[in-house]
Amino acid sequence: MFSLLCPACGGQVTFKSKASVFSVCSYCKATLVRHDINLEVYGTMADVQLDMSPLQIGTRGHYEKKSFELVGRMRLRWSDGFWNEWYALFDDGQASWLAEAQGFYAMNFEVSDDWDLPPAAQLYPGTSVTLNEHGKFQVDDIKKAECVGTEGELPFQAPKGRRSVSVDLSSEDGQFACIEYPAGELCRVFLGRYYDFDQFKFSFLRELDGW
Amino acid sequence: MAGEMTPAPSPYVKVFACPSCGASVTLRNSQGSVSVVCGSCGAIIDVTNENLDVISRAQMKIKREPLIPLGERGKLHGVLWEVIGFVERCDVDSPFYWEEYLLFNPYYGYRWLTQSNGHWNYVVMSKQKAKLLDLSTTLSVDYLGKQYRLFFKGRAKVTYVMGEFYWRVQVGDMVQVQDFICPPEILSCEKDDSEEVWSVGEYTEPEEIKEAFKITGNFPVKVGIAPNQPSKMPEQMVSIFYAWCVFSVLLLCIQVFHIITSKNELAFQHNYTYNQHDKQHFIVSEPFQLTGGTGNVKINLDASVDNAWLSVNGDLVNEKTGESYPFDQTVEYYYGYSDGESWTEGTRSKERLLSAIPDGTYHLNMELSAPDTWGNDAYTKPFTQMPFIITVYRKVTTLANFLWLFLFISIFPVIAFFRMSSFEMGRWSDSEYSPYPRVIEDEEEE
Repeated sequence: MFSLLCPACGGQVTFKSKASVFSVCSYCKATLVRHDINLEVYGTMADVQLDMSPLQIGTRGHYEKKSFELVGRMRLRWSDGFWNEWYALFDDGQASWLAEAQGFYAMNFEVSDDWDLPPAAQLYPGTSVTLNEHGKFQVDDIKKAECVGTEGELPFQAPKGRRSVSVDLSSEDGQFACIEYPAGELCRVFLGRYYDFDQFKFSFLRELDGW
Repeated sequence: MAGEMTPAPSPYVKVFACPSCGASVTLRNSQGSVSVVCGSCGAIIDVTNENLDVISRAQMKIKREPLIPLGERGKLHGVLWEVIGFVERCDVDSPFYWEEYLLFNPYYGYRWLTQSNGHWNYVVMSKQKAKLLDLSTTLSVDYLGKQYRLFFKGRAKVTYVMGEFYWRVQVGDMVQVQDFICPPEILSCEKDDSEEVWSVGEYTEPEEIKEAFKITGNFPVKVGIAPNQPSKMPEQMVSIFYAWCVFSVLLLCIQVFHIITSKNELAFQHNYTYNQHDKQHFIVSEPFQLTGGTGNVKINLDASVDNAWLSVNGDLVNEKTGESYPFDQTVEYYYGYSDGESWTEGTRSKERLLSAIPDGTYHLNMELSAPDTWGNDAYTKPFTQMPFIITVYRKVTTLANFLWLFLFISIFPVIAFFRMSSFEMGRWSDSEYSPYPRVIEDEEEE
């Protein structure tokens, strides 16, 4: 964990992960890009709209006997609503994403490999995709997404308006996969599982008025 | 001192004017809901952006009163849920319709409560798909290790909506539905062009829901048997079977005791002769003793009748008390040869059992009768003399009581089994995929 000063307002910006290159200053909402130990301002981020997510930056949880903390968030919007992608940092330094949508929570890890995947336009719900040695998956849904806000730190630049196509897949043995086709970037593949809310044993959850 | 503080409105609640009719619309889950129905005009509004596009105009239908009012909160399965939406759907190919209540909790997401014909289900959506067990017919699937049987396949259509939803719902929306059952659960797959959604419903008693949401009014009465309604009968079968075992053992013990205490003692035996030419056929036996305590008495009649019969109508008389116990016996025996086969009918020895005869000195009074001739179509001879033997046994072993009682107690598990079968047949009676053979009533092939 290390801290740098925000070049816009001088406030302290903490990075919990060495992999994080993007953050939003919690004081002045300037969007910052990190080059080694230098921070560069390139815009401002509006407040991420208040939603009823019980998760917040600082929420801790468990996944497969390891502990993690949520350090960043991307809020995405698609034709049928919104969802959150939380950037999670495990105590052993590993990073992952926690996708939160409609009460479903999927922990998934980016897998770097030689991916030979069809373009997003060729995928439809029900299409079969083989993810190398990880097995055969079936497309569940395809979402044309737009980033409408971020908070905390992220491993890549995610400015407001960043577009991507997010394809959710599942395998017969219950694995979850997500292929992200960001506009103008190489596609990314994430693999993981759905967990019930209780299985994560969350702590430091957000206080929800009335709940 | 100060007046009552008005509670601050929840930050997630949004109120806006309906773009269709101008009435005030309240959105409870402003960041989660995608569409909301105007409570005044029934227009469905898209709330994913500030434009508030009207997805569909006013519903020209009678306003419904959901059994659980929107906004009510109740605790089910340990979690507090708020009812935020109400949908009425129907089977496209039949007049069958049902209600669905959308429940929301910010930690756990969404659930559904469905009600049809008075039967309720608590439905959880799942990301896990089921595995086809038989690829050719899809009659049965494997889901998380359990086998579910196909019950219904068809299409469902939205006919009425109220409240807010996590997708853009429209009246008329249609999906292909497949329902599989493994009581008390029902596994549903709903499919349209854009997605396939699997969900698991658990049969829930209406009392549990009424208590959770503090509903005081009446819920609709249950009609028929729901596809995934659990049968209480297997439990009953077990207790009935257990009771049967206990009683069987009891009966067996009683029978064993009876066998041990029976004497099979010969109390009296005498040879007599029936003479056709006697003026009257009345015999009084010599007295004999019955000992061993109150018990049964078996009286045997043996006679070598030959295509004839001999009948004894008598009384066992207690010499001290004068009490008489009637009995009657007929032996008959016929034989012949016809159509190349020889046949016999009847028996030359008959026995009669008298119960609860106390100890004492007894004699037999017997009235005898026989036909005038004996023989058949081949020959006839006059019936002149017939020797016969009367034997009296004391405290014999009997099996009849035990067998009749055993049969009686065995009726109960048999009835329980048939009731269980009829429940299951009733469950499947509305399904096209019933494993029970169907009786085809009318329709003859041309």
